[in-house]
This record gives sequence, C-alpha cells and structure tokens, in this order.
Amino acid sequence: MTDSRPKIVVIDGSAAAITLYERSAKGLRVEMEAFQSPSESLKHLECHGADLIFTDIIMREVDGWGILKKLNSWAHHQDTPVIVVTSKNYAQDRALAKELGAREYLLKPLRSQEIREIICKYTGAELLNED
Amino acid sequence: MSSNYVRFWGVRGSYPAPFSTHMRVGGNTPCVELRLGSRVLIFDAGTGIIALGNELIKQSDIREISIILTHYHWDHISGLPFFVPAFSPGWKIDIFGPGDEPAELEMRLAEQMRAPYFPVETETWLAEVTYHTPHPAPVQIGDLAISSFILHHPGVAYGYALEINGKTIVYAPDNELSFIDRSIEDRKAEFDEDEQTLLDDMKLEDKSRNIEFMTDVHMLIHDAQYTLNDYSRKRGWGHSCFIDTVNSAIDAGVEQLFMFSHDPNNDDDQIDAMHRRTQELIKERGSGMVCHVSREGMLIDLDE
Repeated sequence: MTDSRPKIVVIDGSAAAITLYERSAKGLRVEMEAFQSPSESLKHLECHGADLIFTDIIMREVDGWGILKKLNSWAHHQDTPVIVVTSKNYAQDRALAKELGAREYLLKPLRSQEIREIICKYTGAELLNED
Repeated sequence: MSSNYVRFWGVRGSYPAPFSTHMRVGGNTPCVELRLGSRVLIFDAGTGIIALGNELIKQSDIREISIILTHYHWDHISGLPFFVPAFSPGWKIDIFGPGDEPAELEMRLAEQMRAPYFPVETETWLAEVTYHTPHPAPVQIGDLAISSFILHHPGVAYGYALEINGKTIVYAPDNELSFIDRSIEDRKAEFDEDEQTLLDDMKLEDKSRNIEFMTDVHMLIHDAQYTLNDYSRKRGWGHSCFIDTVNSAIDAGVEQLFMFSHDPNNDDDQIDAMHRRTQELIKERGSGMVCHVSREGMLIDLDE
C-alpha cells in the first residue's frame, strides 16, 4: 500500500529544536525527516519530494539562504512550501526570505502547538487514530 | 616597527562619528589592517580605509592588497569610493565578500558608486581588481587560510578567522550574541514543562554555537556596541551588549578581547566607563582575559 502521509523535512542545527519538531508532529499523520546537517538535507531533497520544509538560517556548511536558493533551482521543489524558523528578527532577513519564496518567517522559539498548526495549515495533516 | 601587526583604522559602528568628544577612541567606521611582512590584508572598507589608502599610496614596495568584507552595510564599504590605490594604475586588489558568485560582489560594490549617489563609478578604477567569494570554503591568500562563519546580523554577514604563527585572530565586527536567550525568556511563561526543558537545552546549544568561533582565540575583535540600557531598546538591531561580549569571550577562553563597533552615540568617557565595567567583570569572574577598547591608530605587534 502506498504511504500517503504528508512528508515534512526539518533542517536545523539544534538537536533540541529537532526534538521539539518531532514531538510536535506526534499524533499527526505525517512522516518527518529531520537533519542537523544542511548538506545532508540537500542530498535527501535532491532525490525526494516534500510537502513542507522547515529551515533555520544560521547553520554550518549551507545557510538557510543556500537551502532556499537550491530548492528554487529544482523543478520538483518549485511548489514546496518552505517555512523559515530562526532567531534572526531582522527586517532585511524577512525581506530576503520573501524574495526567495519562503511562505512564512517565524521567530524562535515556537511552541509545539504552533508547529502543529503550521503543519496542518500547509499539509492538511490529520490526527492519528490512537486506537 | 615590527613587520607583522594589526592596526585599527576605523573602530566605530553604524556611521562615522567625527566629534571632538569621540576622538580618543576615533570616529571612522570599520577597517582593520593585518600586515604580515609585505602582505596587506584589510578587513572591511569603512571610512577608516581612506587614511589607510593615503598611507599605502606613499610607499612603493607594496602593490598587491586584499580587502575582505564582512557585509555590504554602508559603514563597512563607504570608504571604498575614496580608497586611492583603487584609482591608481599598477595596483592589484583582491576583494572578498558575501555573494553566490564574484559578479554579485562586483555589483554590490558598484551600486554605491553610481549616479546620482556618487560621481565616479567603479569602472574608473585603474587598479586590477578581482572579486572572490569567501564562503563556505576558506579563502587562500598565499599560504594563509582564512575561514568564514555566519554572523547574527541583518542579511548575510561573515566573520573571519585566521592563524598566524600558532595564534588565532578572529574578526567579528557586527554580531548580536545571546539573542535567542532573551527570546526564550520573553516567552517562557507560555511553555509547558517538556517544552521548557527543550528550550533550556536549546539555550545551551545556542550558547555553545555562539562561542564556538571564539574558542581559545588569541585575539578577538568583536562587536561590543551597546550598554545594557541601550540593548534593552535596541535588541534585534544586530549588535551585542558589551556585557554579553565579555562574558562570551571569557567562557570561550579568549586571550585578548578588542571591543569593537563602538556606538557613535557613546563618547570617549562613556566607552571608558564600559571598559572599566569589563575590568570589574573579568575580575569578578576570576578570568585572566585582557580586554582592550579598539581605538583608531592602535597597533598590535604580532611578534611580541
């Protein structure tokens, strides 16, 4: 049977942030792949589609801008919604994120409930049946 | 004079401050020269680079220089239109700065030298100018490797690190430390117990990442623009409170800290008062770190 759960990719250098995303997705019918290494995330995204991507900006190797530019260059990610989640509360960064196609620009820290709402908003994810 | 040194030509953040009350520290915007024998590396091209250019043009031994830019905010590039070696034949200038490709860097610098903002364009430069991107692969200038890291500042901004004779020098002129700590504190009451535990971990991770680039550094030139009171009003402007800078540098085991990017609103007496507070703080924490106020004209001998 084909797995039709929405696929979510998280790119964040912080292990604690990734745990927060994973806990937030618990109870939702989604599949989440999380990467602390942006380079590894790009290797994955080059070969796989995604229904929603969360990315930080300040990261080693490749920053969030590099992620957005790379996604824009791939035909299979033209319509993938990308949410920037960062500690950078600067107008210049908000403008750049918008220019590069990010759907939303959110400031850290986020609550689990806020992450869940974003996931549901962009993927239409449903609650898992706990039975 | 030693042939290996660091010299501060501009130490002021944001905009020039040529006021009589600011002259002990200096009013020019960021420019730091690293001289290694006949090799000249210039970090940022704020108004401080103008006097450096006037000095370089007087001599005939050196005709090749490198300019390494952290970002394109005016205070870091506004001296370039008045940098005489660029307008002089026989000079070779390598310019490094943020951008996906060298053409982007060339375009950024050309934009500030265009009518109606400036009467002379970069096309009039007679020096042989070559543009390079410095990130993420380290820049190689001769046998010297310069690595870059991302600063917490509006837009894309890089700090730089290099090692000379076993001593690490780091240049991070505009960098807002501890931003997320305060964001977490602001919202703490909204989080449940599990979330708070994770946020405490996030704070620790962020702190560790913040000081990674300064760990065991011999000479750290770092943003220390705001007082605590300034920072309470200007949080999110991309600069650090000097208390955060000093505490981070102590935590990272920095040997010598140079407070940099001084607020143009702070006069010499106010900056001296901030410096006195750093001395108290260093003593309170039992640290052996030496903390200096970067001052225009200050020269640090690297052979000592």
